[in-house]
Amino acid sequence: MALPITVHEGTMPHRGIRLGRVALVVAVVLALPYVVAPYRLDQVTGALILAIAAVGLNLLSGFGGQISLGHAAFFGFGAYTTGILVTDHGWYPPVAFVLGMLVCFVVGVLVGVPALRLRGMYLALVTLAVGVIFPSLVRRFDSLTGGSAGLFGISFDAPDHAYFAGRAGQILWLYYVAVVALAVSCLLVWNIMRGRTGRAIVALRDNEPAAIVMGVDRTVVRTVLFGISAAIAGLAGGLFAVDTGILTPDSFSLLFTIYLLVAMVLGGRASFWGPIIGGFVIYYLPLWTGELTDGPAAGVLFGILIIVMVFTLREGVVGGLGRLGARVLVVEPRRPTPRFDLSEAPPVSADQGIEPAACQPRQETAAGAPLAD
Amino acid sequence: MSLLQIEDLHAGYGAADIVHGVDLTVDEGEVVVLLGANGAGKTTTMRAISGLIARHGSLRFDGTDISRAAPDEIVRLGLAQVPQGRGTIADLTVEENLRAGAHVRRDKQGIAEDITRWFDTYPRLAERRKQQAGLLSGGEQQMLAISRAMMSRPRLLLCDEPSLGLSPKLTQEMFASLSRINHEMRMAILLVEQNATLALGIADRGYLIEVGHVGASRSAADLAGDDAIRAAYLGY
Repeated sequence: MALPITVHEGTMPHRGIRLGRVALVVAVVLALPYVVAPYRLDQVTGALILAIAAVGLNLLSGFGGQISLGHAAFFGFGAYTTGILVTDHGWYPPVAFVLGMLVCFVVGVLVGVPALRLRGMYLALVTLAVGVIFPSLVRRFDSLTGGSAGLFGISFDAPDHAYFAGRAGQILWLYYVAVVALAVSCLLVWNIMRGRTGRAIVALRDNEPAAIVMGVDRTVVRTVLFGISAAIAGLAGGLFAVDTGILTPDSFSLLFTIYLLVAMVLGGRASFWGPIIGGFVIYYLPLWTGELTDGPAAGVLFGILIIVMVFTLREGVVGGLGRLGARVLVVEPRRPTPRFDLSEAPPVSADQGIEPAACQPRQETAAGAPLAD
Repeated sequence: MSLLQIEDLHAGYGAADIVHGVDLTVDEGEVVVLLGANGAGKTTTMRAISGLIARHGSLRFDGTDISRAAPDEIVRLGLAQVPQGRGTIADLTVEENLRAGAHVRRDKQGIAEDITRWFDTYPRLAERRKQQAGLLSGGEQQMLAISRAMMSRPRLLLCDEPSLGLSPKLTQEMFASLSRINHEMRMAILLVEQNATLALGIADRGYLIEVGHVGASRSAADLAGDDAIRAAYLGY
């Protein structure tokens, strides 16, 4: 069969392909624990956590077009909120995650306020300040956070069930928790972006004056967007706390934010799969280069690989995959809605028959005949 | 009472006012054109009316004071604008642009009906409904920008130089289109335009704006016959 295969949007084959894609992801997620060794699964959990944070950053920077160099701080706020609540107050971790997200939302909205007046480099500097201050704050309030020595003993024990027994069971448990958290984050972003608010977010990024004269409330959209992005990063932080068990301020340095930015750009900004793939790339790339060579050479190789990827995949991994996919499969958009809209017709009684007027083209009542030819 | 009534409008960017003391009115169902040379303050006036920039003076829309209203409240009251240059969102599809234009509305049924209506009006947009707006031609983008503004179901449409960057043929089509919207929907339009001849062709009245001041309202025919107007335009 000649490639690419063309399917029409909304037809059975198209729906089948979309469903198949989801089924494939679900299958991989469920099969993974049975195929890989526990320590490998532990790594996947680490990559998932990075992916969640990248999903959060992508909402703000990819879709919203606002740069943040402070996302390590939101990740940290989430991690320490969860860490302190679980260790000192014995909270159930999921409840601590939610509170951590709320804390991050509030901090995010506050940081988003200067974003109303600043953009580009200036906004980058403000968020950079937030990112730089955070590790110092952790050290300053060491009675609460454990300071440089660290906060220990944070855990989210698996339910008492044979399936999650032992050390391998605990790894499996955290893997599933991370999968669910990533799914929730993605659904949240997807829900925002596919609707009215999503259009407003893209409009503000793309053409701010036009967005404002459409009636988009810039203040609300920008600050809430910042808050939600921070909350998702905070959720990732909470997971990080229970996954590693130890929090030290060094984990939340500027380097972490840079990793997130690289993950977002490499994966494909303003796409749904981009930050997830990017999260995995940025997690595994240093591991692989570290296995290949030792010492400084690993870092150099890592850097070179990133440069190569940025040059070869301008729209990120997702963009590259999309181009590849287009050679195999093309989805033809649905045809425009028919001009004759019978749902508009006045109710007709059985003996009356259909009035001719009920079948008139809609443009009779609209603004006139076709113009833009 | 006029639909839009502006008295002694001052507006500008930062410290310097560009518009000092503009008075103008637009009545229901009327096309009013604002003429003036580059830098006279036409776009500033339009942006001030929509609340995009700081302004003071008396601005009333349908009797409501809008001098302190936020841009989204102004849209809700029924005042839509096709901003200068690109009035579309390049990264959204054609259909999403129309939906974004209805941002202040919540009536799903009505929005769907209006989308069909504008697709019927501009079939080229219907053919490209799933395409990103940035990929449309200049003429199609302007059609989309006008439809997008109309999606908020305004009572007054502000158009800031809709002919910018369009070929003469497309400019004529665009004016014909605006005229049709005015006639068939009784839509009041306030138009800023460099192309005086065409603009006055569809307008009822016009104002001449010079360095931030506006003269008295004159009929379109009167303005069209004025040599001084042509001079103000062409800048000699």
